[in-house]
Amino acid sequence: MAKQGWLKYRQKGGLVGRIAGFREHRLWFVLYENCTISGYKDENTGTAKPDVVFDLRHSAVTINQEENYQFELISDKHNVVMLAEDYDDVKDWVSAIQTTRSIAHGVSPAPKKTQRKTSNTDSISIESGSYKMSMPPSPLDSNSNGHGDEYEWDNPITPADPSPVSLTSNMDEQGALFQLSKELSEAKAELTKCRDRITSYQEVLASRDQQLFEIQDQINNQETNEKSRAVTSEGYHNMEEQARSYREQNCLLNEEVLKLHQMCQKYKDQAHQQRRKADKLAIELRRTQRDYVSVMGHCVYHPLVDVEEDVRFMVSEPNRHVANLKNLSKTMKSENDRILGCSIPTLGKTEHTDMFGFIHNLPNEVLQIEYLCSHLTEAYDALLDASEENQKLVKKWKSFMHEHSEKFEVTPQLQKLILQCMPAHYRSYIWQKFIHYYVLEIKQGRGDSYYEELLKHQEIYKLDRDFSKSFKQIMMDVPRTMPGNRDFTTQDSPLRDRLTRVLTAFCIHAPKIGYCQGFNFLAGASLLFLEEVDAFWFIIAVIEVIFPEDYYRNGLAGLLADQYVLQKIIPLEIPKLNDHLTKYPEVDIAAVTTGWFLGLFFDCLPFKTLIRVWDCFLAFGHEAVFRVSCAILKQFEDRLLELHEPSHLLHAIKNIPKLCTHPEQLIKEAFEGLHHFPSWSEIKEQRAKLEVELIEEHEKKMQQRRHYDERMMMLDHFEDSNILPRNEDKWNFECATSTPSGFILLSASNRMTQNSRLYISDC
Amino acid sequence: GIIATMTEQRKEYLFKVLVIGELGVGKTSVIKRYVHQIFSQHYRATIGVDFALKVVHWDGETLIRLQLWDIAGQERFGNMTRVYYREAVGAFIVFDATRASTFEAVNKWKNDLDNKVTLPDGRNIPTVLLGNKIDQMRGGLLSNKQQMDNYCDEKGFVAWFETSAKANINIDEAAKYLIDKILDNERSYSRNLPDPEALELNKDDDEKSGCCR
Repeated sequence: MAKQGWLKYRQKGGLVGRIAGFREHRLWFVLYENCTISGYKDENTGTAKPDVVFDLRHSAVTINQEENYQFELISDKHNVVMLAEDYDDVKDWVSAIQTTRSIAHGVSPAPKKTQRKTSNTDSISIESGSYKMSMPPSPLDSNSNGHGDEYEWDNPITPADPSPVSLTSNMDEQGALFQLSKELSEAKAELTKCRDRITSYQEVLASRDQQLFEIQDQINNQETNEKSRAVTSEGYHNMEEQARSYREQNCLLNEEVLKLHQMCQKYKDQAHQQRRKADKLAIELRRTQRDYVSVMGHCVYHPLVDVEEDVRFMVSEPNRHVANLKNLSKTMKSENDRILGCSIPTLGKTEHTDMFGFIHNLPNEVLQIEYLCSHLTEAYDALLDASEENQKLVKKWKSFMHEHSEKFEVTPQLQKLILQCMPAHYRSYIWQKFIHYYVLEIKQGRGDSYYEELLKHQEIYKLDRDFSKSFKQIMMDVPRTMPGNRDFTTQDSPLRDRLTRVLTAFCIHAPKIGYCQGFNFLAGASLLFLEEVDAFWFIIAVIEVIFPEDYYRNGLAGLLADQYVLQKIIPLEIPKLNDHLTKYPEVDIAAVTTGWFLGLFFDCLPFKTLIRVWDCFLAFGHEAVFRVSCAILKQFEDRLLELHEPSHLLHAIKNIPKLCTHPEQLIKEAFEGLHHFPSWSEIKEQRAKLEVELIEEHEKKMQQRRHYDERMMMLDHFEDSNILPRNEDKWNFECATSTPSGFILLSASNRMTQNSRLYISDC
Repeated sequence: GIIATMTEQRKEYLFKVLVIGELGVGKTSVIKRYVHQIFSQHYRATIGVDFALKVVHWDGETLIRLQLWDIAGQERFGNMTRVYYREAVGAFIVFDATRASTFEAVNKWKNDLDNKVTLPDGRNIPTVLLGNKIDQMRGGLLSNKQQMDNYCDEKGFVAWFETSAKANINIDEAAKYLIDKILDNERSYSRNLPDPEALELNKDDDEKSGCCR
C-alpha cells in the first residue's frame, strides 16, 4: 500500500450524497498500488472487507480551499470529500494519490516538481494550495508629517512708544502746565488701563489660540485616521476580489482538468479499441493461416492400401502453395521456432525429431509438406491458445485442479473437460492423478516403496522358469519398443533401463499375468510423461483395474471377447461398412482390431492422437477403446466402401488409424458422434459371457496340450530306457497312455513293415 | 485364400502367406526386405499381426499379389493364431540362426501351423524354413546341410534357406521357391476341384500319414 491513515469522508452530490446528506464517516483508509483507496472500519485491514472502495485511476483530486484540511475525489462515479487531521496530512494524501495514479497510468512517478509542471496533461493535479492572505505593506502605515501644520503663536503686540509733547507758555503756562500734567496723568492712567486691557485681551487670545490649536490637532488626527481607514478597506476588498477570481479559476481549471481527463480517457479508449481490433485481426489472421495450413495438410492424399508410397499433394497450383508454406514456416521459425518444444520442420529435410523425441523419416516432398502442415497447424494452435477461448478452458482446468487437489475423482465434469481439451503442460499431472485414483486399493498395504522392493529381489525371481522366460522377452522387446525415439535409440538410453525395470517389476507383481507383448508399449509411451514409479502404476491401472481381470490371461480371452463384441457394435453404428465387409468373408477385421486393443492403439495412431485417446481412456475406461475403434472405422467408412479387393480392404483397415492426424476430430466422433452405441452395461454383459466361453475353450485346449506334452515325455522315456527296438526303421508312435496302476502303454507302428506293436513299461 | 481371375490369357492370384517364428528372429525384417527392399535396425515389436502386400509379376501371364502376414512371436498369442492362419496357402517359419532356442521352437510352430490350417484338399500348406541373421553367423548353416535336409524332410518343410534380411541374402529366392510350390498346389487343386470324391480320398490319405495329431 502506498499510504494509510484515518480520514473522515462524506459523499457529495449524487444519489448517495443526497440521501446520506452530509453525514461523515470516520474510516481507516488504505491507498493501494493499484490506485484504489479503500476505507475500513478499523486498522485491521487483513481480511476485513472494506466499507468503501474508490477507484482513483480516473479521478481528479483537489484540495478544497473553502474549508480546512479537506480534499475531494471527483470522477464520473463518485464525488467524495475527505477530511484529514491537518494540512500536511492533506498534502501527503494528495501527493500519494497522484503518485499511485501515475504508476497506475503507466507514468513513472517523476520528481514532484516536474510532475507538478506537467500536471496539466495526464495526471490531474490541482494545487489550489493555501491562499494565505499575506498583505502587501501599505504606504499608509508609514508616519507622515505632511498634514500636521505647526502654528507659532508669537505675541504680535509690542508696547506703543509715548507720543512726544512740547510745553511753550508759563502761567498760563503754569496752569496750562498743571492742566497739562493732570491731563498727562489722566492720560497715563488711561494708558495703564488700556495696557491692562490689552494684556487681558492678549491672554484671552492666547487661550483661544490654544483651543484652536487643539481643535486643529484633533481635526488633523481625525483626518489621518479616516484616510488610513479608507486605504485598508480598499486593500481588503481587492484581496477578496482576487480570492474569488482564484476560486473561480480553480473551478474552471477543475472542469478543464476533468474535461481533459475525459478526452484523454476517450482517446485512451479509442486507442484501446484500436489495439483490440488490431489484436483481433491478428488473431483472425492467425486463424486463417492456421486453417490454410490445415487445409493444405488435408490436401495430401494417401491411398489407403499403400499409405506412404503413392502419396500425392492434391492442389491446383502446388508450387504456389509450397512457396506459401515455405514463407509461413520461415515466419514461424523466426518468431517462435521452439513453440512446440521442437523446431519447426523445414521443407527439403528428410528427417525431423518431433516434440516427443520421435524421429520422423520423410523421404518425399509430399510427406514433408504434410508433416510441416501438421506442425504449423499446431504452432498456430499454440499461439492461439493464448486467445480468450482457450484461456477459458485453461482456467476451467485450473479451477478444477484447485478444487480437486485433495481428493481426485473421475466425475462427469472431469470427463467433459477431458473431451474439451487437455493442456499439454497438465498432462503428466492429470495422468498421475488418474493412475493413483485407479490403483488406490491395490496400493493399500503394499507400502510406499513397493516398486523398489519388487526390484530388489528380481535376482531371486530369475530362478523361476516363467519369470526368466518373461524377463528374456522383456530384454528382447525393450530395444524394439520405441526405436524411433531419441530417448530410446541407444543402448544406454536412460528410458530403456527404466522401461526394463517397470516391466520386470510388473512381472514380479503379477506373476500370473507375466509379460505380454504390448505392455512394453504401454509402459514405454507413458515413460515419456511419467516418472518411472508412476509408469509402473500406470500399467497396473490399465492391466488390472481398467481392463477386466482376464484380459491378458487365459489365452487373451478378454481381448478376444472384445473383438467379438466390437463386431456386434459395428453393424449398429456403421451399417454400410458392415454390409460391405460381409461381402468379403476373408476380411476378418479382428486381425487388425486386436492390435488396437492390445497396445491401446500404440503403433496405430499418430502419437499426438494416441495421447489424446489415452487421456480419454483414463477418463472413460475400457469403453473408450470400443468407441475410438468405431470412430476410426466410421471416419473412413466412405473411402473403405470404395475398395472391393479383399486384400486391399484389410490393408486399408490396418492403415487408417495412421491417417487420424486430427485428434479432436476423432474424439468428437468417438464420444459425441456415435448415436447407436450400446450402453456400457450391455457391452459389459455381452463380453463377460463371451469371455467365460473363451476361457473354458482355452482351458480345454490347455488340457489337451498338457496331455500331448505328457505323451511326448513318455516317448522320451521309452527311447531312453531302450524298450523300443533300435533299428534303422522308422517308428511312428500312434498313441501312448498311462494306466492308473502306473504302467505306460505305447502303440507304435513301423513305417517300413507296417507292423504295429504295443509296448508296456512301468514309470 | 486363392482368388484367381482369368482375363483371357492373364491370371491374377492373391496368396496369403504366413510368416511365423519365435520372438525377435527377424520376421518383420524379412518382410520389409522382400516388400520394400529396405532394412533397418529399428523395427518395433509386432503387436498381434501386421501385413504387407507384394505384387509379383511372375511371368507374362501371371500376376501374384502376395499378402504376407507378420505374426507376433509370443506364445501367448497362440490362441489367436487360428484366426490369423485361416485361408493361408503358404508359410515361412523363421528362426534366428544365432540362437539355438529359436530353432528348437521351429517344431512347435510347425505343429501349430499344421494343426490349424490345411489346404482345401486337406494337405498341409507348403512351408519354407528360414534360418535368418546368417550374416552374423560364421560358416552359416551350410556345414550342417545334410542334417538340415533331413530335418526338413522329417518335419515336412518343402525347403530351407539360410537368409539375411540385413545383407539381403536368399530372401527373394526363398519367396520364389514358396510361390512356385503354392502355384503347383493351386494348379493341382483346380484340376481336382471338379471331383469332390478324389478330394476326400486325398484328405484321408494325408491324415493317415500324419503323426500324433
